[in-house]
Amino acid sequence: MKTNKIIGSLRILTVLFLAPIVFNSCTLDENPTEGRLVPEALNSQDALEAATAGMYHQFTLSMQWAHYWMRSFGGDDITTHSGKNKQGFRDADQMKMSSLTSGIALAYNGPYKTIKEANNIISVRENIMGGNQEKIDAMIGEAYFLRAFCYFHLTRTFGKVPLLTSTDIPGNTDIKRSEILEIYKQIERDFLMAESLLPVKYLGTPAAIRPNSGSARAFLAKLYMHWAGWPLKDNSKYAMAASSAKTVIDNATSHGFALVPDMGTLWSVKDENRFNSEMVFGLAHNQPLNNAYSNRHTGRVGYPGDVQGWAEVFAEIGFFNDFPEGPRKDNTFRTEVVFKNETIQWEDFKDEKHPLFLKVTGYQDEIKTNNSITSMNTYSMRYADLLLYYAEAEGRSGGNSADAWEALNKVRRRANNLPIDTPDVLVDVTNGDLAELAYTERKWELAGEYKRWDDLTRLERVAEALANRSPEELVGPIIGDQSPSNYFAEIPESELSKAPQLRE
Amino acid sequence: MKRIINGLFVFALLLLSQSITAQEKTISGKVTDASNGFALPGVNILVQGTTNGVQNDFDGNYSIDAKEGDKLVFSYIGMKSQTITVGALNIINVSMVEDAFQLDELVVVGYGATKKSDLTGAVASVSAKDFEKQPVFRVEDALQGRASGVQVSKNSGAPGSEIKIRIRGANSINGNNQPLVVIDGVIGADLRAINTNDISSMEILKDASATAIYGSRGANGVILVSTKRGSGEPSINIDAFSSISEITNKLDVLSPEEFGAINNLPVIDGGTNYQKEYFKTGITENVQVAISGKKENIGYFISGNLLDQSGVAINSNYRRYSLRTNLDTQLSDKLSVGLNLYGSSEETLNLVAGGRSSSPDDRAGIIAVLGWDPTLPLKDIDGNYNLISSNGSGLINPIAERLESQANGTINSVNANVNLSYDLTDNLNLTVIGGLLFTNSLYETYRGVPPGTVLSSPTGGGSTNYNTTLQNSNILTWNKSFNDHNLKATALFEIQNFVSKGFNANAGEYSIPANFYSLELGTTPSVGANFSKSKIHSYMGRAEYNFDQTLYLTGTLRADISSRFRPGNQTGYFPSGSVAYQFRNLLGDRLERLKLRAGYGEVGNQAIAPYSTYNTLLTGQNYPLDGSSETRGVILGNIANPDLTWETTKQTNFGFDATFMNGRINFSANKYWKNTTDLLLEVPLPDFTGGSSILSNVGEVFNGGWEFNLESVIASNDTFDWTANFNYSYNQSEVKALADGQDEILVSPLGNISNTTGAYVSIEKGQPLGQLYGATFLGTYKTGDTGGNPGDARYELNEEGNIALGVIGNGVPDHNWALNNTFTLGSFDLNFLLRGAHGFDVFNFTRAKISMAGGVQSLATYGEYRNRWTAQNETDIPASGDLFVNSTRFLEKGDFVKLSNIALGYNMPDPKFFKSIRIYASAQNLFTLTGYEGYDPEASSISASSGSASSIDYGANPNSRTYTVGVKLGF
Repeated sequence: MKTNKIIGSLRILTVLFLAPIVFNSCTLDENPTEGRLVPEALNSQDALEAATAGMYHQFTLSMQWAHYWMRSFGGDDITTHSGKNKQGFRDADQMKMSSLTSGIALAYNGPYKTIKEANNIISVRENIMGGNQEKIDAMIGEAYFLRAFCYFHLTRTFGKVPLLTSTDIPGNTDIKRSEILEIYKQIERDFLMAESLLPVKYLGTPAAIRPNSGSARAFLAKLYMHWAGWPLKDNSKYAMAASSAKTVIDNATSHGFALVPDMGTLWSVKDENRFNSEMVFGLAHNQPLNNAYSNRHTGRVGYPGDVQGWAEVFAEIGFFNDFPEGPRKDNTFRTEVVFKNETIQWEDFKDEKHPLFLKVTGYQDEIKTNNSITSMNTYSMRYADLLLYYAEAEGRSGGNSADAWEALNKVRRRANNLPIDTPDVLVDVTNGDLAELAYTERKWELAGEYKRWDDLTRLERVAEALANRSPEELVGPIIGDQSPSNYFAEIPESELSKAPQLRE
Repeated sequence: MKRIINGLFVFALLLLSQSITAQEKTISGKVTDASNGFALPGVNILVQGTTNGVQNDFDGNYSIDAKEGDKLVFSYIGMKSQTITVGALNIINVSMVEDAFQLDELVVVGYGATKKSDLTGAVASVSAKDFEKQPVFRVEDALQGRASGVQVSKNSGAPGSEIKIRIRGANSINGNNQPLVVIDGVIGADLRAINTNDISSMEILKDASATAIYGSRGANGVILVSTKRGSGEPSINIDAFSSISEITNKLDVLSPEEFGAINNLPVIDGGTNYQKEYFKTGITENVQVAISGKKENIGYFISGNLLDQSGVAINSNYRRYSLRTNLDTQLSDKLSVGLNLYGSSEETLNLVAGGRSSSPDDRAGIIAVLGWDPTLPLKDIDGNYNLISSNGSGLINPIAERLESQANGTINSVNANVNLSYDLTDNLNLTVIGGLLFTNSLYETYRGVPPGTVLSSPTGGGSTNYNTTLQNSNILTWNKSFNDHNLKATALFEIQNFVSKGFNANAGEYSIPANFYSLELGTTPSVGANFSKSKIHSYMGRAEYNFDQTLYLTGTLRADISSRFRPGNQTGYFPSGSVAYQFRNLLGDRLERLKLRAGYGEVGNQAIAPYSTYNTLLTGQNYPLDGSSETRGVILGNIANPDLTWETTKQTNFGFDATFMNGRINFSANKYWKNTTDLLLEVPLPDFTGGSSILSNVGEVFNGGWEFNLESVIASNDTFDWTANFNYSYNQSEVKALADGQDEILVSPLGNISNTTGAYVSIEKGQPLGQLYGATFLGTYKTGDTGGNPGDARYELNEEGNIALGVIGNGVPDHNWALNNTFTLGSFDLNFLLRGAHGFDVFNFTRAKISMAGGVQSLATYGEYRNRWTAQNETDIPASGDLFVNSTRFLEKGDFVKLSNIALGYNMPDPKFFKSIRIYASAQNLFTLTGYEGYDPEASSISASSGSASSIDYGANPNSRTYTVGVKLGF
């Protein structure tokens, strides 16, 4: 009796105890594919396109705010508000930046996020099966292009920066800063690789918002301009800059590059104006699609507080006064704002008194004064920029070709609302110091586009330019060192604390 | 693993082979109450070490079969148990004595229960009678101030917000630090959803010798909740109360006129006092009904609860509806079944980030309440909200934002479990628990005035999530006494499966204003979905031995196998052992009992998300490659670490419990040392790698401290009772090691905040956790000073002339204490709970944000700004220069003493038609003594689970002062 009971109990015990074991005998190992998208999925042309879109998503975020160009507020063309939350921009404007300058991390972190995606795309190249080889190559080329573009921005802003081209992140957290020459060589290799992989013109895009082989060559021209100047000062690169620019100009039609007849249309957000031939490379922001794609360094930030602006980006008074009169001045600045049915002249602004950049505010009938999410283009390079690089490089490398003079004159004619390709004796220049004439032309043509700082630094002319600062500037006089040793911004403190090996 | 299973069977067989032969006789007698000599009915009489037991009758008489040498245990709730050895006599009369501290009460210790007096680990027990005099509806409130070493912090006054509980400090820097919650044997329920009135007791397992039986999830301590069961005559209890709440203080900000004068702005229609507009009187209504009883073999406890709480911030609310049925039935003398069914529905309105924030964006919420342009009226002459101010830059009208915000959360939960107990033999019991935890949440959000830098059209979005946990626990318990040797062995096999599924839809901006349910009006819709699954299999064995209730030994071993780690790292072994020695009547009644305890154990933390060891791609990274239409995009997700393994905490505990002064004073003390190794740490990756962080097992954290608990019955007679409980704890942590070659990691627990110097919390080798990091503020540059413009903020510089950064404070209190007193005079009783925390700093980021221009704030609004630097009056309040939010300027002492609760009750003597009537009134947070300049030193914006920091007030929701009146009726 007792034995039976025990056996009965044992049976119950066995069933109760074993049942869960049987039902759960399946593995305890995770299968990430059941609920996650795994990196191995990047193996087709379509998947590569998704990764490319993701890379551009990071890229557009990095260039969304004016902070990306914060260092360029050191130029003689741009200033900011004397108070409010603009301390970082004032630090740059007054040449007193430090690793703690407010907002400078936005110029540093974004490009590296893009580089991370570019490194990954380059590394999966061999895994892509099937598909259209030209299209695959083009996307790989874009990754090389954006990686080079981002490192170029970083080294111009911060000088020696860590150079990571590998996808092994845990194994590379302790790398040190690379020498600037090493960084330039990497950028050159990447732009060359991009040029070889990219199409002559990107099909399916209405403008060079995706780079083509001409965009890559044009940026090589810019790279060589900087390589020839400060800080590396390898003069031999001027000839390479000239020949690179010339190559693009000679093939401009096939790349789809040309000056637009009316410079003023460049700042319009209408579709027929946004997608234009003047863009050698840049971003066509599309705010209606999603705020993430919007441009937040234009519109509201360019207006004073008087008209609900954020008072971030203003034209310097001295620069404005020196600017040659003519149609180009009208297409560069705003001197009045209509607000609540009242027209206010810039001299009457209380918060604060500055001329405005049309290039920043846009047109008031298209972008309201309190609109901080616009669809204005970001021009990383305009065709005018390239034409003037060519003329300057030609001059600095000892050349004096008619083509170079013509390149300069095309920009001058357009600046005066004249037909671009028709010589005009009143406007054209045909003799003198070609390089310096082109250099000065760049000052006016590219004012307010964050290009002036690049030009001033590569020729070490910052102090000379800032000597011209108007005493009326409300931010106040230059406080910091104006010599080349203070041209670079410091790597942000937030990064130095994570990577102490970068401290210098 | 097979070997373990085989072992268990051999073990079980051995137990079964024991057989019992004895000469039995019938013992009878009467049990009386020693205080008055009257018969005491309902006493349980048990032959020790068997299941042979009876209950005496209404006249106190009993009879039971036993043999000579057996021990009869007489027990009754509230009385001291007595053990009497059967001798030659067949009549045994017993007189029972009241037990002030219920030392003979059974306390749940996980997978079983033991007498309070037999505990060998550090276990705190909180029973319903401890908190029934407080009008509480959150379980966490019921725990507050009740046990040493258990710190309950209400970091937010928003209704329905998360509440932080720390047991002996934080172990984990990035992992969850909230204790494990086990309700009626089912692991992992949410305390917020539970009706406090359903709880009969809570046991808090503090040291590792007690928590090791929960293995990989016991590292933060364990809270075991037991719900009420039916017994005795049917009874109905109704408890209803109403409360009103208000904020305790208002901050000094510039008046519209002052702000206007300083900034040369006109005041329109008198401007606005935003604090007055934003904070209002909150109202809480709570009704609880419970029916319970036991008839024949069926015990029942049925309860319902309705709670409706509106916050002190406008347009915020929390509602909870719950129903419980606990049924017990004895199917045979060997088999009993219990069924617990609990369902709750919770609704939250405008609860942001679990109550940590007041708005999804700091451009609205409390920071905007304090920082927005006061010169504007709420609405313009056309009756439309003034939404943006050119003077307030990025901020948005916080009143409009909140009033037009409809963020509704609905959380429905079911907690069902069945408990099957079968006595295989007189000594061997098998208990099988089947548990189901199901939580379905739905969040619907419609924002008429979305916060953000940009004024936009209304936006909407929603998400839903299904979480299902299935648990099966099989517990085999063997119990045997040989003479004075008492042995108990427990074996467990347990499985838990977790599945979480959900999806979300966001509309983006609406084309025309509408409501959430018109989501298809969204112009930039997006969708998403999520899924995760994990499992844990566990084996546990425990052996308990005591010799004549003098010497106690306990040993346990748990093995957990978790799917969250890769093969090779999946299994963790968690051993523990403890020993105790009890002296009885050492100095007669003056020192009735002294127990010395020592224990050691290892527990783990598996707090990593499923699939954390695998790299993944992140979706939702679209881009218009052609300039006009979106292409779906992906980027690399966080870098995974395939080598992740358990975080392990090793803890040693020494303690003693003493009962003296004729049983009137009970004193416990504990000293502990905890070392957590293989810390699961989010190691920040440099930005040049793309940023973010990588989860790694690095480093070691030490926590050590003292705990004291003093319970006393100061007076106890027919008319006046006074009981007091004082508890105190001291905890100190130290980071012992970080990753190789690393001495310091700086982290940003609230993410990047503008105008910080970068990360603002430091984790440094040799230093405690919770170090606050930043600049040292030195006032202003004066006229004639070099290095800055006059009026600029001045900070300490280092040797290179850069701003010196370092640790400037610590946000974790060193000392916590609570004093709880209950006075009973006739039909009246008075209870108060006083609580304090000392030795910590608070980063007042809220004040920082409104003290100077910076970030999205363009003009200062804080009252202090009246006295800012001017050329005529060169004060130390900066008018310009760098604003560093994380500087000593905004670091404040957080020390406080709070009167958490004071309650006065009246029990109507001999009420007609009712068994009992109780009327009470109470006040919570009647006063707070603190030097803190913000609303509340306890309010924090840090997640309740975080270990790396606490005490950062960044627009945190303050706790309110509450007045309550209520009635309890018994039928």
